[in-house]
Amino acid sequence: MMRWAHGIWSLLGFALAGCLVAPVPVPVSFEGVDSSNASVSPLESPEERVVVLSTAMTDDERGVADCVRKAMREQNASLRMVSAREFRDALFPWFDFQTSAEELRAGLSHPAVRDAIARLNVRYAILVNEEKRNPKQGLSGFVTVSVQVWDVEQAQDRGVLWARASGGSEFLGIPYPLMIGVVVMSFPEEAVCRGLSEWLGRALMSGEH
Amino acid sequence: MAILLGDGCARTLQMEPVLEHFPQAVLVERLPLVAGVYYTPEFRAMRSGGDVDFAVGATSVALFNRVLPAMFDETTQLAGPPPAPYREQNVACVIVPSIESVQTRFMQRVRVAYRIRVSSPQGVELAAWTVSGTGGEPYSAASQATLGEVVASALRNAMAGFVIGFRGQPGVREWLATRGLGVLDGPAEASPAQR
Repeated sequence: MMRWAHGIWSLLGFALAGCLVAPVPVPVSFEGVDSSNASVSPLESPEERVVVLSTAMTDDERGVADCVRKAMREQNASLRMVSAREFRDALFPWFDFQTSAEELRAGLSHPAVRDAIARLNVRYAILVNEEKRNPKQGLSGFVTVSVQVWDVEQAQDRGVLWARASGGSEFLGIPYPLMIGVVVMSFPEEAVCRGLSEWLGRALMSGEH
Repeated sequence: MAILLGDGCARTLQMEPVLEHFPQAVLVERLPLVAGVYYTPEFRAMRSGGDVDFAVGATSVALFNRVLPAMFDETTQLAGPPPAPYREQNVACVIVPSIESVQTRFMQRVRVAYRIRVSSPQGVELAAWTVSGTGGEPYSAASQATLGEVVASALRNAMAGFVIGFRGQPGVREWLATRGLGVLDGPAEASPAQR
């Protein structure tokens, strides 16, 4: 369950407690995907696979990385993916630590590492770095996600994508003890996830950015 | 991954599941040397304390014992710190890890920092550095991960940093150069991690 679901539960809690708080969905301000520093060529065969990793390390199955992974799969039924855990276990320690590009390039050049990648048939490792919000007020703020794309087959860094959206949840009204008002809610993580997964899907499957 | 025991503010974690899920292979170039490792009694016995209590020392010993055999042709555990009467064992260097800090934050973020000291068998320090691992990074991840996963991730992250960073330490690099061993050259070997 994603973080923003907590907001919904909070609102339900208020409602059950008798407070007059209404949720009001508002559009997210999505600034788009900046791909000016990335050069990603499409997969060369349908057998080539992709892995989406989170640099947070603990959230293989959670957060924006998981959202990107699921969205890419939904948008491209033929895209083959490897789970983050399987990939990390097979390539330990190279994707368990925030290695520099130089270290990673050196690591990826080793025969045992290359063999492991070949066994998994992974072409691209997509590292999702979800940055913290910069709260302006309440829970609102920016969500910035950078995605580093590694062609692990060629041991080449293919650059970084950036996506940013603003939004969140904010209470507008008379707070305690009355708690009357509205909570404006938007989900910037979803917008960022959707934007990145669409860009990556296009780039990997057809070469269109 | 790990099992939560107890109740109240502090949580005690059982660490065996963490070890069971540690990767079986460590893909790193093995050095053709014999390394000694010395675990102090304090290191072995250390617990994290704080709001997340786990046997950080014993777990770390087990993890170092898995990664070191992948890094060196031979690894031997030493009974005492350098200098010590084990020159006859052909030990090329002695590694002494210690725990610099264990930080837990609201049971959602764990950071484990090791101080690594590498010396000659005679006790001359070759290099010393700190390597740390963090589990439970940004808000959206940590809040959803189990505490055991967060701790396991911190330890695994630190071990990865130790393995990858070992040869990059200036003192280690210079020492290896005196033995005709460059940095990150030669074929890597898939080394089954050992208990």
